[in-house]
Amino acid sequence: MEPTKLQRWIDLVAFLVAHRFPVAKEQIWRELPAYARGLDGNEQEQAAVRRMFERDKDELRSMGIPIETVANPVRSGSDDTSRYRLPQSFYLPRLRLVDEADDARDEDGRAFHARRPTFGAENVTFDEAMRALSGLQELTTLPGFPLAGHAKSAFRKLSFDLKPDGLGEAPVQYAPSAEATRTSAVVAQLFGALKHKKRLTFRYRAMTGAEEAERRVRPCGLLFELGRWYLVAYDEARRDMRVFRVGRMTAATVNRKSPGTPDFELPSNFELSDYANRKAWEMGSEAAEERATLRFDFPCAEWADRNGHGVLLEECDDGSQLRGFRVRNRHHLVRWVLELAGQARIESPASLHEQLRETASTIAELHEDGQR
Amino acid sequence: MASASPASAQARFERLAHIVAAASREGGVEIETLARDFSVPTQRILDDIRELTTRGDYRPGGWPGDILVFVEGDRIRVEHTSFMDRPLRLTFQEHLCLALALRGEPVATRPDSHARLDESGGELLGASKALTMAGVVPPDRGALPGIAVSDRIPDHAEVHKVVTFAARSRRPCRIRYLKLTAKDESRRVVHPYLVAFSDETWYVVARCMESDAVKIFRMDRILSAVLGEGAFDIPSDFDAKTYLDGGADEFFFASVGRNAYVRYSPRIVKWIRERASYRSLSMEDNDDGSVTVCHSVADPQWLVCHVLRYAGDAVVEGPEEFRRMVAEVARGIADLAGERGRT
Repeated sequence: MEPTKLQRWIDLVAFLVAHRFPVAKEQIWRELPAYARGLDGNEQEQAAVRRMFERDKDELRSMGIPIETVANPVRSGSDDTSRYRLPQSFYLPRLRLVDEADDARDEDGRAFHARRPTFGAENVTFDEAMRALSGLQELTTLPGFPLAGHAKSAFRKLSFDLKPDGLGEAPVQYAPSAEATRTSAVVAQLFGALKHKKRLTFRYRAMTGAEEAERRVRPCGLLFELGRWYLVAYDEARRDMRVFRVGRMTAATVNRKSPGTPDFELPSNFELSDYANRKAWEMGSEAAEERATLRFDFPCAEWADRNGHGVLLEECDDGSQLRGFRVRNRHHLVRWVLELAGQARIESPASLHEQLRETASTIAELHEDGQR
Repeated sequence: MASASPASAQARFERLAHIVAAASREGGVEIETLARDFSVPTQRILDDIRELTTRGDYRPGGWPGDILVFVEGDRIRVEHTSFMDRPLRLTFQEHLCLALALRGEPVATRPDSHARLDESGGELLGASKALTMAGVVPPDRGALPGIAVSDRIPDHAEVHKVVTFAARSRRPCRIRYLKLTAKDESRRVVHPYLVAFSDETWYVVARCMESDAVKIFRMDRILSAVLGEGAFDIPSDFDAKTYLDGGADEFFFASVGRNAYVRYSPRIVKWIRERASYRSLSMEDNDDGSVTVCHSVADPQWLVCHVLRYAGDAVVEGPEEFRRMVAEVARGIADLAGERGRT
């Protein structure tokens, strides 16, 4: 019976695991039945064996099996003399779940060997294990997350040693987002482009522009925010960084030329975090930036403080707070203050305050009797 | 490797690596558990095992990777020399997931929202020192491609942490809650069943002991949360899917709500259409280029805030009662601003 691809892979891994020292490919071919059969055939069949071995090796590596190539110290420099091995680090390191309270302490009460490996295992505290495993659990529910399967397998591997009591079913879940789910295939494609630093073209429907247009970009980062995916990329035509909402992209194509070679390097000053957590009123030209002061009454002041809205400038005796904001887009700040339905008001600048008053008056008039 | 189709050699290899490791432990492992872990039928697990054991048909004896597989009732047990008795180390993509997973907590504790993701990179190692020392988390995060999950857990991380812990450990929680448009907070004891992110916002689905009903609370509106004594059980008829599957529609646009008709100006129609394309909103085009959307509204306060945020580009067409509510709140904001202007 001809061994299947899966069986060849298992055989190859099992063979390398059993050999501490690097093994020559000829020895592997001779000893693994799937390859050995072809060696007895004609030249074509022998070439097929070599190709099969190369393919198997590459596929296993692409799955994360770290097959190492070791040059033969005697006749280095020739491919034919390469040897192969699996390093000791092939397996997940042993992890041991410990309770912080169990850690031995010195006279001053300091933990002194909490991190000392126990019989070759690394101690991991309950808190660390919970963070890692619950975090992975959450990722698996992230809508359209291209690596959900990988998050699941990482969870399985880590929970082999670490299974803190009370982990149970994940209480934190992301509601399915139609946009994120619908764009998951594109996100997977973008992730590939990002990983291999390949150029990307797509059609984009910007909300501010009139028509859909083609964009040619160098992808720098993928950001999941507010339940949707964004691509942060260098736009070659505009010669600047741009943030694209993946749901507004169509016909995304990754450059297929020179697949093993990156098309570009990331700008040295690029930080994906610069593009995350930006409020609508903070987006816009730097030149237009101004400072605004808002007053929040108590207990809304506590809400603003807790949620990091603005910076505390002054706390008043009645519990209200004056908080400072950096504003690049006035309209968006006014919209946000309006949405707070009177729980906050603009103190300065006066023109912004007036803009809020006028807009609120307009909304009131539009909803008062006789106005439709 | 984890994304391959369940029948591919890749997926089967991944499963077998886990099956052999799990079944090598004392007492083996339940087939049903393995099937659940991989979301495949039990027959698939048995087929994988068969693929492993039929290697004996073609191999010479005494092979170093020899293993003995015992299928005993509903369990699988494996005995072998020394082959795949532990999980394989994390792959590149799994590393990336773990790095993202570990960022969650430290990210949430940063006081400056702009610095959160950035600085969490440094904290990543601190937060998972043991995992890093063991080589599970790569110390060089620069090798990972730029992907970030910014779930906007705001700086009230303590509230998020306490409520999530309460949900996980099923313990009651005392909260101070500030409702939308309310002037004063309320104090309640709740049993948090689920923490969910939907439509740009974190929510807590919890039984409120004061009203003895399951309610939905916005996480950002919880001013403080303290763990209470005792424990609770989640009723057997509670189904998280009820709250998650419909996304935000299930949260505030409940089918039990009243219909409200909102007209959106031509200026913002592009956004409204895009939004409507992802949810089942009933929408009508008007001659002037505006659109009218019918919302099923469970919470009128939501409607008021929703209309206000469009700064005059959204107008409630009916019912009259909702129009009056918006007018009243908008007039209040204008008057308040006017008073301040006079002072």
